[in-house]
Amino acid sequence: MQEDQLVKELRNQSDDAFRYLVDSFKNKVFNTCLNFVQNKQDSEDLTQDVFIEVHRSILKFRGESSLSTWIYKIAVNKSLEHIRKQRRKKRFGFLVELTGFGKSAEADESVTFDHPGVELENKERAEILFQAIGNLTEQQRTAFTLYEIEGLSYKDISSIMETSLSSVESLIFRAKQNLRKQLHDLYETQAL
Amino acid sequence: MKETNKHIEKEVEKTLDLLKEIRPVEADPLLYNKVIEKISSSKSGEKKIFGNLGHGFGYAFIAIILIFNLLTSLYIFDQTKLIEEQTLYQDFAQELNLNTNIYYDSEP
Repeated sequence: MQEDQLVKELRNQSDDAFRYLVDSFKNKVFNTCLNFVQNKQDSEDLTQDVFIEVHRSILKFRGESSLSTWIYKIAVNKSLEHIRKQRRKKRFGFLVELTGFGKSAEADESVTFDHPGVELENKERAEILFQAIGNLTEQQRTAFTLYEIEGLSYKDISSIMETSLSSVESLIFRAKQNLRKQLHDLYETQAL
Repeated sequence: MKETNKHIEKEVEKTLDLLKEIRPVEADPLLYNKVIEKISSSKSGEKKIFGNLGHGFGYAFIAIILIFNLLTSLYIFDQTKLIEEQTLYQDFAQELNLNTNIYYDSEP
């Protein structure tokens, strides 16, 4: 189905068009959320939220970017929002424990991520890699994940992040540098 | 030392190369049904909220009436106080033989 036609039918609240959209984009959205939030269950919930948002906001879609870019933008924003919320929860949990008012469940949670798309023999290495990606700044993490894992072009990333092509390039370059440094420091400590 | 550094660099490269080997994961096959279920339940939730808003408006109306009553009574009280003060000034003025009546229409 042509994108213009799909958008038109979605605006007319067509169930068939919405089913087609979900079937066409569900894997992309799910993988994007998974690579950002690094948790399978949370990613499934977020994927549902993304499509609910698409259904709710399709009238606001002005067609300035492609439908795919718009959906990616919603997925990235929802994922980043989720990460911020998790960080706030962790900080609050830490404070609760620090003040001695109780033991927080969030503080006990393991931070390692077992990516379902990684071969068994690489699981341990992947955990290290995702932990390092999680330590990048929000902007670097977004650009890097969309480019290196999702395989999007600089142009699409600049449209999703609402920034220039040169900024995307610079963010990816700095993200790679930071990752290298983090991994180098980690393996150096292990070697000692 | 050089050997260790080489080894570390090799490990870093190996870890970064893993990015190319991450396979996309299949999303939940029942996703569409779950999304539709959530959309319809949120719509019925909205209806409930609007239904409850009916009660809310009722309570708000009662509250407005009560506040109006309270303000009116305060206003009346203040008016009485004003009249009392006016009478006091007039009494004083009469006692002192001052021509204050020009300020008050109600005076003879």
